[in-house]
Amino acid sequence: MAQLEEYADTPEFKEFVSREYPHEIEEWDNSLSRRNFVKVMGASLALAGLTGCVIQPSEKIVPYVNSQMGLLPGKSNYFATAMSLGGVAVGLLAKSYDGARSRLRVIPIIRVAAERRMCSRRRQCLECSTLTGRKRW
Amino acid sequence: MAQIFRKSANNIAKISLITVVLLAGLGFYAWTQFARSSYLTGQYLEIQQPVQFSHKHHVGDDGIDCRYCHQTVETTASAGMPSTQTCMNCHSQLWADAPYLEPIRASFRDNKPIQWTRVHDLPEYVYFNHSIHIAKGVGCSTCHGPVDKMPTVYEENTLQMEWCIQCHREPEKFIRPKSEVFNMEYRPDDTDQATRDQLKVDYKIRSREMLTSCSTCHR
Repeated sequence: MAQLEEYADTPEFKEFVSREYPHEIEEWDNSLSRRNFVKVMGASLALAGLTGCVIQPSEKIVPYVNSQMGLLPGKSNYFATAMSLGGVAVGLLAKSYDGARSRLRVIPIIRVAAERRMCSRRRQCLECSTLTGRKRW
Repeated sequence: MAQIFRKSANNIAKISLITVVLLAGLGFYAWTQFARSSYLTGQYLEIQQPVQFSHKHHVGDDGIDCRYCHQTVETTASAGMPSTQTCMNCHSQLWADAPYLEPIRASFRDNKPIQWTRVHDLPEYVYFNHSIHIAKGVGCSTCHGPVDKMPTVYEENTLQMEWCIQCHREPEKFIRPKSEVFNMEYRPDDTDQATRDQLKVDYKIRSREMLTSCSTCHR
């Protein structure tokens, strides 16, 4: 209820304020009240959403110049390959997504029944970890 | 006590109440029609491209199949835009010196791709997969219209959710045999309803509940 009296700014309210807060009476300036502030901020927030109401801007499709063989847009390509790490050939599964975002996975040795050998460094070397992005095994 | 309102205020109040309700209704209807208009959806708007490729000539007159250029339509979500090399396959021999085709030769020479403007533009929050639609018997011309008669490609349908749901609710009204998917001459009357109902079973098209589930398209 005190808010309404403050808004009405009656003489009784002025007298109440001067008695209640004798020191602040000179500095009482109600030009930017809480009510006005919240009103303006709320309106700005609501109207800011209007920037979303646009007709969909036109997009471009930019294909390749030279057709890429075996490339399916949006689908990953897996390649089984190998490379030598620490002098020993390690099986790798390479994943290529749209020709980018490639990842290399080391094919687990346990699945390769014929070759039961591991790289002599036991996969702790820098080469293995930079290749696959793993920090530890 | 003096009357604040004149006697005529009675009638004015009644009339204005009815008028406001009617106007609000009309305004709402006008808004719904505006939302479906060509202005907002881009329907029937012929989009100018950097090269004036005519589907009417290449598909209608020359009879090139859709898949020769849009190669990944049966296998991936995106139908695929032909590379410059696809154009040069023929045009290195045919019309090889035509000034009309200079942008294509320039693109091939300088290794700079041609920037086509997208005609069928779905919003980013929608996932659309071409391959599943082809696999289940939705023809090219069902959604894209008579492409073999378009000198410049325009959007035949609004691509609004309302239009997609129309088929997803009753696919048996719109599907065709898989052999006819790429046939531009096919008309919906060529198969009768009984055959289409059977196709829905044969192609294992999902139930209405599954097709109109939110996460089917909004992933």
